[in-house]
Amino acid sequence: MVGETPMTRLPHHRLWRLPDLRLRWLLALGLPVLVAGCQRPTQSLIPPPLFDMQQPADAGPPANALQPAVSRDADHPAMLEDFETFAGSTRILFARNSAELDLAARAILDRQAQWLVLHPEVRASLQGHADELATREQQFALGERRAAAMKFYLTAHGVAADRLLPTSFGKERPAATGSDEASQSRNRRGETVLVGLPATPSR
Amino acid sequence: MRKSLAPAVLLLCLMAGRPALAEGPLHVDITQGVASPLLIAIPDLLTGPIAGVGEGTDAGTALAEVVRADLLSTGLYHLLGVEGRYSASTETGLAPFARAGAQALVLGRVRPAGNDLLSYDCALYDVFGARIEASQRITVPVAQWRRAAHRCADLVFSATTGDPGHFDTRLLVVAQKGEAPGQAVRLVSMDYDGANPSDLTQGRELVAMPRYAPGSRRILYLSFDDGRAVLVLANLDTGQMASLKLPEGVPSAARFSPDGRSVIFSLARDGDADIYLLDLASGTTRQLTSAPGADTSPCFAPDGASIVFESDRSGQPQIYRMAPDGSDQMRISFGKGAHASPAWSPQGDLIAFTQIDGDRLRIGIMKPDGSKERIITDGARDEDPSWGVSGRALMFQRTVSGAALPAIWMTDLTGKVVRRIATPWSASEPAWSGKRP
Repeated sequence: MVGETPMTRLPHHRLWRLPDLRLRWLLALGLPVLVAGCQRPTQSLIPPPLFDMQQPADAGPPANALQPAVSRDADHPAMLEDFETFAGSTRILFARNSAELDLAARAILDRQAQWLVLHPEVRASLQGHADELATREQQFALGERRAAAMKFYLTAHGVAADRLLPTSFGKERPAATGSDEASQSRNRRGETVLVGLPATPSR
Repeated sequence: MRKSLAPAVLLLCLMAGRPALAEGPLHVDITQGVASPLLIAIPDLLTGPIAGVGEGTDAGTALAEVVRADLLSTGLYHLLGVEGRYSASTETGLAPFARAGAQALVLGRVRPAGNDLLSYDCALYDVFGARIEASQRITVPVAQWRRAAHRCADLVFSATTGDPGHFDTRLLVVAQKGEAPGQAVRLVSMDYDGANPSDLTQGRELVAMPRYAPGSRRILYLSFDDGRAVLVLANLDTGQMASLKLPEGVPSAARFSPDGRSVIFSLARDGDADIYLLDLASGTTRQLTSAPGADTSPCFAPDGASIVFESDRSGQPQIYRMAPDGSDQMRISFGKGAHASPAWSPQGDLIAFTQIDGDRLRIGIMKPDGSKERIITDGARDEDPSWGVSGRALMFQRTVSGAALPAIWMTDLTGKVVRRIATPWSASEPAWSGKRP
């Protein structure tokens, strides 16, 4: 299993291949929502977990198989990439006009909660977004409702409420601007953005 | 070429200052939203070029062009072309305009007034009554020459409709100057017709939902400086800005009260959005609604005696009305589809809104009790209606089907006179100012 190769053992010259490999893996799966979270070349070899978006989390590989990679280690402080890699995505999707968390969203939030519980020094901004198919101010309220649903779920899974900062962008920052349903469905989203965490290893 | 003189109207009696007008014979009939256009002539009165006015063209022509564009954009006037060249230095007789069938004649004489000032003598004539209906000497800095023409058009508009003109006004928009969504977003103010744009924000932060205060010298907008939404109050004269101190939650949809002393807004917390009122002097907030669900888009009536807002408490967004203390909440929109973003007209007689019907958003108007609902636009996605001070025109955001980037459009209340406001970048979320000071 790929996840077992620790990053430190990786010969340096192989690093350049990494983004390419992962991108191909993602494209093959046809999960464009994951791409945004994985565009930065990361220093970790652990691929995103292999659960299907339509399946609950426990249908994927057992969570504890990956856990050693994110357990606390004073020599290797937590990084943004660790979170993205561990949770599989920083982004969840919603149905139209809904703030309900479906199974796929819960699966991602389960993993995000696990990671956040392991890293109590990290705070997270929960950002609700909405599609362009209703008015601006309505969608702003909907975005907040989505962020609140994420906060509720994460706190129910052990993350302290005061670490979570729900906010809304309404339809002000669309992920896709096409008028087709495929584009608009990508805008009905919630993003977990970590606050105060280095994006590169501090050595 | 010199024109024959009509002795009765040789005098151009100019009253410096305000126009005092009753409903004269030139009144435009706008009942039922259907106008019979007033036949009007607005000839160029040639003066030769004035440095800084127009682009090297005759200054009289440059100003007359702006006056014509303003009045024609309302759909209330039909422009008559009259043969011949007219000069600002000679008197102009009414006979040729009467022969052409013009009911009204607008003559504007421009000249430099020293100290970088420009003087524009604007007069509206009743051609058949052979008398001056309204006149005004307008003095502006040369650099603001377009304002002189806008104010002349305002004079004509108010004299013929009885409502204040909406031409000497500004428009706040959220401009998208970069390629990608969310990139290089700027708050831009410009003349109502798109001229003289200036950036109000320079930073990298996202801004949204701009609004003018009464008097048009203060603005409110939502800023996402560090990822969190903050309501910012800015003074356009001093350049000072401050973020408003609010209870915990995510604010949005702020508007000033008619007296400019309070801000009404929506505050969302734990998935529930309610309407709040903030007193700017004391900083105290008061919660006005508490129904579960999203209460947002509040807007005062111009007399301050009622508030309209949008709520999805019935299952889908509809428009509600309440007293300024939050009591007597009742639903007023019962037409097809959902109704959102209500905006009360400056005259108090109408409420504009966005109708949501499937994937389509369109602008409509109705009476303040919800009756006489009419959908007046027909775009794929029309939203964010904002009234002109005349109460006879609305700006809104239109996203043409298939095109990703929105633009600002203007419509009259019949929806028949619609045009795009020219901006070199895509623009959204229009906020139309009142009369400029």
